[in-house]
Amino acid sequence: MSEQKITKKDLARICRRGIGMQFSWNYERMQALGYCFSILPALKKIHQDDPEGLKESVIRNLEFFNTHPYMAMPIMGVSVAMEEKLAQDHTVDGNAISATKVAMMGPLAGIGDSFFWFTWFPICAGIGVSLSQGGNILGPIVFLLLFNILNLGTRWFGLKYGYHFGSGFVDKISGSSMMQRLSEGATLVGLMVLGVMTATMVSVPLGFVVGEGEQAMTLQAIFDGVMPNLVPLLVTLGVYKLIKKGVSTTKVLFLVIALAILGAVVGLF
Amino acid sequence: MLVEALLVSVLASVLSIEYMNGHFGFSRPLVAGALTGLLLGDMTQGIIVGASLQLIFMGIGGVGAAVPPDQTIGSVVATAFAILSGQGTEIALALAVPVAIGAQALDIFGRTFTTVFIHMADGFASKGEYRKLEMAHYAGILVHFVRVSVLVFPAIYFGVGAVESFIAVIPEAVLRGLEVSGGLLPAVGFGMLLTMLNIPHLFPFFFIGFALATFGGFSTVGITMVAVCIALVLDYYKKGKTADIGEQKMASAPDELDSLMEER
Repeated sequence: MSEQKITKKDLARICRRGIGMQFSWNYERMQALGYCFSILPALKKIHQDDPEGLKESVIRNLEFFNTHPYMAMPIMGVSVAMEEKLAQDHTVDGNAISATKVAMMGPLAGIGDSFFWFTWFPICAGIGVSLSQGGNILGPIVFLLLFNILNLGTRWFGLKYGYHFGSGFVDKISGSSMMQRLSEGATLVGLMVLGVMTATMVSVPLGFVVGEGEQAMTLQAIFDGVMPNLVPLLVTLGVYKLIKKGVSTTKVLFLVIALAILGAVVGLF
Repeated sequence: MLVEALLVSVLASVLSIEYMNGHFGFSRPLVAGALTGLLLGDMTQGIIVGASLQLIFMGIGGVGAAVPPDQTIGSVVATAFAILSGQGTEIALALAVPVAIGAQALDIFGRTFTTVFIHMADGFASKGEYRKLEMAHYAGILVHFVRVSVLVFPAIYFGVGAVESFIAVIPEAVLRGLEVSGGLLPAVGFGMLLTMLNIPHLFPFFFIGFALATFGGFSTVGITMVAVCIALVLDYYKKGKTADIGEQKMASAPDELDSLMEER
């Protein structure tokens, strides 16, 4: 294998610049400029003695790009490795680099969204919220620590791993069942945590009194007799059905607020 | 109020930029509320409000190119109102969602405006002016700073007084309803998350988690432990079925990963 110009220090630089990748996010080419910005120092180093090659490479990296922001790192690693090969011996051409970026950004965005936004974030935030009771500062701090271990870890090791394997990285992730297994496992954990949060964090205080005198019971007590947390469960599943049917989240938010006010006005709560 | 409005407006801008860049979680309601509280001298209240808002916005996040309601601005403004007007969590709950939806429109405007810079960058690239290309990228910061300030500064500067007198005329029952909605709204975020974690044969695990918490008193941390163990065990048995392909890959992958970690 030919000598690699990009050092650990250069990778660290890409990683740092990648944090600001979305400053110029726009509807037309989304993260394109940010992608180019992040790997620009590496491109400059690769094409040190070849200004025309550098220009071509910069223009190529201004093409449409969008993925999960943490997952952009392994893609940058792969494409920098390929750019290096192109500059060294032309065994890779520009089209292959663009095609590889496109091939990776879709699947990695899906994994990043489902893992970071829909599993890991709710777990960390759920723990943070439960520690925040009474305004305890531990809540926000624990949340930040937990969440960022994986945020920074994915960025750095993704970039390193991507650069190390170069274009072989694509075969590696699409050839194995690794990604599917990871996503199934994450979904399982996410679902169980959601179950807990539905039980502990959704509350519907039904103060309505049924019956008179000695037999008087609040509606809450009756439901608790059937099953504690039954109402929060039903509300959550109801919302789930509505959103699944295609009702927008904004509408559901307002619907819930309206129902709560209506309930309070008629004395249900 | 001028100083407070300025401080809150700058905080909202910085956090909004952090929401898109880095995303370390500072812009999420839990931390954004705490920081707003710290800035206005009542961190405890800020954390309490932030934690309630976090539950509401739990399942709401940007996926792909879709721009969701702006939870960062919603949280910062709502927490600031709660503290400055002395009205506490209820008023924050009432304001956070409408403000977040209003701010969403400005977010979309900002992301449209930045299209200018990508065209400038094209020009700089073809002339080989890479320093200017970087500047075009940084210019996005300015756009987002302006689009946030334009909403947040006037909202705090003129809004607190208006909100105080508005609260005074709201009937008791409506305020009670808003308080109740604070307990109900997390269901929206959780319902949203359920639609995202969309693997039908795993759905029963939602009910397992619910039952363990309701009848067994499990906390989030406890359930996470149990869930990870179940996932690992299930994965082991599933892997057995596809041993041929799976095991070869598994056998080779860790070695390469190890050598990568050791390499300096």
